[in-house]
Amino acid sequence: MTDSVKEQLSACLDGELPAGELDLLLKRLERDPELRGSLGRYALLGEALRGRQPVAASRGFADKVAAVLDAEPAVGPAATPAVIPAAKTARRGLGSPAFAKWLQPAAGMAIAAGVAAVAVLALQPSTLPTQQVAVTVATAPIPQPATTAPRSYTVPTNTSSDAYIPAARLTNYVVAHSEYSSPLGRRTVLSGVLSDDDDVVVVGGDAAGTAPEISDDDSTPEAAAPR
Amino acid sequence: MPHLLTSMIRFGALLVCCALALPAQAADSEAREWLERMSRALAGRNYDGRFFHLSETRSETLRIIHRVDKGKITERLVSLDGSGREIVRNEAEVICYLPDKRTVLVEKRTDSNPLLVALPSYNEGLDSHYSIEKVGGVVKALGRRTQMILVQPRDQYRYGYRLWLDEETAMPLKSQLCDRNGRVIEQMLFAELNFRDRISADELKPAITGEGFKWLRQDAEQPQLANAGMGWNVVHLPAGFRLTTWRIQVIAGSSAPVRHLVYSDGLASVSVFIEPRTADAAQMHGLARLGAAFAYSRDLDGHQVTAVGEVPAATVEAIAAGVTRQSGVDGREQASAPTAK
Repeated sequence: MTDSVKEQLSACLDGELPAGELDLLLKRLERDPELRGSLGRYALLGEALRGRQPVAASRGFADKVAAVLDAEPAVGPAATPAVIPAAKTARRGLGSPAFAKWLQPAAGMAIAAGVAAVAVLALQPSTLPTQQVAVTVATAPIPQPATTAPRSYTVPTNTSSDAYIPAARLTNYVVAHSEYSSPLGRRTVLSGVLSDDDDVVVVGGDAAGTAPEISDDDSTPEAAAPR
Repeated sequence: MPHLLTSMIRFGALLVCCALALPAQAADSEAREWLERMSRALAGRNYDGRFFHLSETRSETLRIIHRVDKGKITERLVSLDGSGREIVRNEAEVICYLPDKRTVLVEKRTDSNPLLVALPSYNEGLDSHYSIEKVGGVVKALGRRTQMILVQPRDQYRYGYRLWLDEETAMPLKSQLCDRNGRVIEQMLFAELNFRDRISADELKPAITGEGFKWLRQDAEQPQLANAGMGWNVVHLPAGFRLTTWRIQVIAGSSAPVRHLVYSDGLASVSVFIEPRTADAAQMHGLARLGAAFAYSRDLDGHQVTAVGEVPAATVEAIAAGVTRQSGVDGREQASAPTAK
């Protein structure tokens, strides 16, 4: 991704991109799947990259972040080790060397704060001791409820797993359900129907072998939860 | 006189107590009011915007055109990323055009209420399952002044939200769906949003006709039955979920009318679909995911039971597992579920 595209994305996420340029950017996103892939992470990184002042988060949030930090093993401050797992677990676009390279300079605070426009905002970026925390959190593709044992989470088109719900039936059900969601929940669900699901990740059994970072992360939620 | 003085002191003490107690209460109710304003804005305004729908593994650019005309909502949601998919939703039906799959899916709305009437109201009951807070002061997002509202689930059975609501209109310029530990599952982010006085009918027409595609629709009369939920129940519901509505519904792709039970905790909702399983249909089972929605299906007593919702996997699993058939209603099944044509 070139600097000019980065700048455009940044301005776009700030709502400061002129209409004409916005059209060009959206067209470009339309043509370039890799750029689209980068966008998700970029948006998460956004706040920090653009030096936005942290918002005041609640005390519960700060406690939670502190708990996460405590629960994580300390790792070296080097950016590279933190970036590699991120690239490895990403399925589309983000895994490209170019993206990893682009990501590197941003490492420390950018990734940390990006985790979440999240929780971390209550802390000053400089007080975050490692990148590992952030990356582990940011790369988990799907929430793995702590209560469920390892099992096969699959998209319906995947036949190698023991779960079976045909894609068309699932879409029918989800659309029928959406009418009973809240307005925001409905938009979330219907946007999911419109998303290209041809290469959705299979999480669980298959993915566990290639993404140990994710399973490591699964052990932290209980420890991290304030309640 | 001493009596009056005592009263005044008491009254004063009461005031102090109120002053101490109120801020928390007021803040919560204010945050809930923001959520209601947001729902009203999403449903009740005319707007046209483009937004990103982002998760760790996918990102889509979508266009939304939303019109309210004489109290009636029409909405068009279009993928701008080349698949050509779009959804047109109005008072009568929801139509999904999936040109990459050469399929058009039509779901008839069975609710006779106008869409605007069905807006949720958020009451104190939500506080048992979510902490809802107005956070800090004004935050700039997408170049606008926004109020941040934080909705955090109190257990693992529901998701939370981080919302950046436009100060002026309460539209969610940015929203993040998060799990119990604050991890972002996905987010929606407006790149552009225009409020418009007038939106023409042409703008709400799909770009494709769907000609030559496979149309999945059920034209059968929707059976209206008062006892649609009878005979089936969910036991051991996750805390806070309760039955909010039920009906027998004809759903595209299902050969027989489907019992549709809706459970909600006031914010998140889960649908349970129950249908008699036909001999030729493969049995569905296990967990599947579509975007942020999970579905869990299982066989029960010759019926296919499927729970679907924008909730964690544990919730659809628990609800599907809790579905039970009450005894002594075997005969009613046939009588109350006329076969679709």
